[in-house]
Amino acid sequence: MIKNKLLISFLILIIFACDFEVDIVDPQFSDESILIGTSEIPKETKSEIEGVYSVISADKKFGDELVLKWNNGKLSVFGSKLGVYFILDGGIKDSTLFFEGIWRYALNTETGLIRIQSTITSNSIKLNGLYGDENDSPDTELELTFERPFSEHVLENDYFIIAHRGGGRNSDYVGASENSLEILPFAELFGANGVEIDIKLSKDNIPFLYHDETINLRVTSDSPIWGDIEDFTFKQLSEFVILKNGERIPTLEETLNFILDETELKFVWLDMKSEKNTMPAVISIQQEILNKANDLGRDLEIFIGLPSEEKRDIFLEQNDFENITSLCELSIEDTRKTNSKIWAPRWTLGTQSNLVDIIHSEDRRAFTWTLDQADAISEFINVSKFDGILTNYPTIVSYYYYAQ
Amino acid sequence: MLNKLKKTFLLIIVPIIFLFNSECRGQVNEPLYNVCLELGSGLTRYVTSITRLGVNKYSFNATARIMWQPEHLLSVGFETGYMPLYSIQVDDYQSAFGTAEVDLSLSAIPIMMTFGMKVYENVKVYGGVGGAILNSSADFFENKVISSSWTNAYALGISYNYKLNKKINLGGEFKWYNFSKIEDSALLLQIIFTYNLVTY
Repeated sequence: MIKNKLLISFLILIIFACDFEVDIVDPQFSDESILIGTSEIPKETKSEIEGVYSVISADKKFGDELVLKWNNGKLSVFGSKLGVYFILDGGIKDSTLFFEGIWRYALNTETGLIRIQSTITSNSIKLNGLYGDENDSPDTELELTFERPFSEHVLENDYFIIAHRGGGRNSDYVGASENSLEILPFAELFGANGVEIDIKLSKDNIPFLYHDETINLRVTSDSPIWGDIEDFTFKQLSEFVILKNGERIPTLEETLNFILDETELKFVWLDMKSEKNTMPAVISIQQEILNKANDLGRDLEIFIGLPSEEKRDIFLEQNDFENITSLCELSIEDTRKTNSKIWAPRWTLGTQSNLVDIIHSEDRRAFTWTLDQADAISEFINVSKFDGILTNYPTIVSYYYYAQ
Repeated sequence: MLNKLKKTFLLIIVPIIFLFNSECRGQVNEPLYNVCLELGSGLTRYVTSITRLGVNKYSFNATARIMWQPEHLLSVGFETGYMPLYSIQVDDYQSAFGTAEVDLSLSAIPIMMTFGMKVYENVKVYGGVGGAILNSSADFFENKVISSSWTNAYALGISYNYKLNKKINLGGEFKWYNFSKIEDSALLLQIIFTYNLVTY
């Protein structure tokens, strides 16, 4: 009897010793690309196909409505259903547009391949194609019909969609770690035009990107060193800490240079996560990159986040703080005191339209954070007067913003 | 989520299964209650995905366990010890920042509640739940960082004991420790010395 129970115990142990980690699929076409032999799509054609489309078929897999928007050379498609998005490469041949890439839900790990094509006629734009699950060859029909271009409000408004930790939680599914250089290009493809990144300070006073206090398995993998991350020099971190998807921890300076040179992002929110006084080192890098951007004629804003009274007080001790671009997460009074150009209250405080009006009247902007729920995103975009949203799901914010 | 469930299962259900497995010791007609001190020492093999730098995954360990053995097959106790998990010592480590001496190590001090059950005359199985203090040392690029942190941990083991006399047993034990925080395990092969402290 005892032996049987023991045997059952060990069998259960063996079963439960199996690894249940979720496998993330990175779908790849196994056949030849349909883009071979195509040329780059002309700029005017690109802007012609941007807009809001109704989904005719596709078994409601992608909802009823999708938004098509070009981002840094790729065509992104956004929908409301589970934060669905496509990232497509495109080309043109004999007046037919060809697109291929992946579709993916932001809210779960489902993904697959997709190929579509379109012939633009004078009176309609239709996209027809096929999609499949994971690495399967696309075989399910999909048809998109152009409904309307983006509204004038959308085209004229300078709205900010800011991806949390460099890219938002989509990073879990695209194989790029939060706060890495590798996630930044994805932020753009997810529809974001800005990013929030977390700043720590190494023992040798180098600001770098990292969120947590310690080296841990949530954000790193296979590290042979442990402990408080700010106790190590940057050389040590660079040599022995690998982020979750195999990337190196980047310094703030190389990150801002990367954003400047390699992306079209135009807004950076520096979340001062350090326990130390990072202000002097961070401000110096901020000013250097802003000067560089100015020389290049590049539209880039970099804001120092002031999330707490402690950080506010340190900021107020800096020389010429009134002229350093900052973003204040505290009260309107604190925003005035620090001369922050952006007031950023938590979204759970509501749409606060009266306060946003006051902030606008002082020539400041209002952003809210960290907004991830679809219904609240819709409300903030359609009802509130905020100028931007920090989110883990930029694809969902993009859909609701462009579908207005 | 599933991993969490898996761990919860191991931490709660398995000891319960062991508990239900306990049967009245009276049937075996052995006397009384014992409190034993079990000292073990042996070899540790650290099971990790870290492969860089030629990690030394073998080391010597020492553990101590006090077990209360009532008139049932199940015994309950407390276990602690010291087990180096890995060390990396490289005199001329080549990096982008130049050549350096690298000295890294991680060790654990388990602090666990232990359940043991006699399954054959000389064979016992063990399950332990609790945690461990992880001590990390990193000395390279002219900066030494020493840190300690707590991790949840659990253990399973099987031992064979040979009775030398009324008070002393000698045997061997094979144990598996899992440390949640680092998601790695250690396998221990030990010689166990058991001393019967109190019989009543």
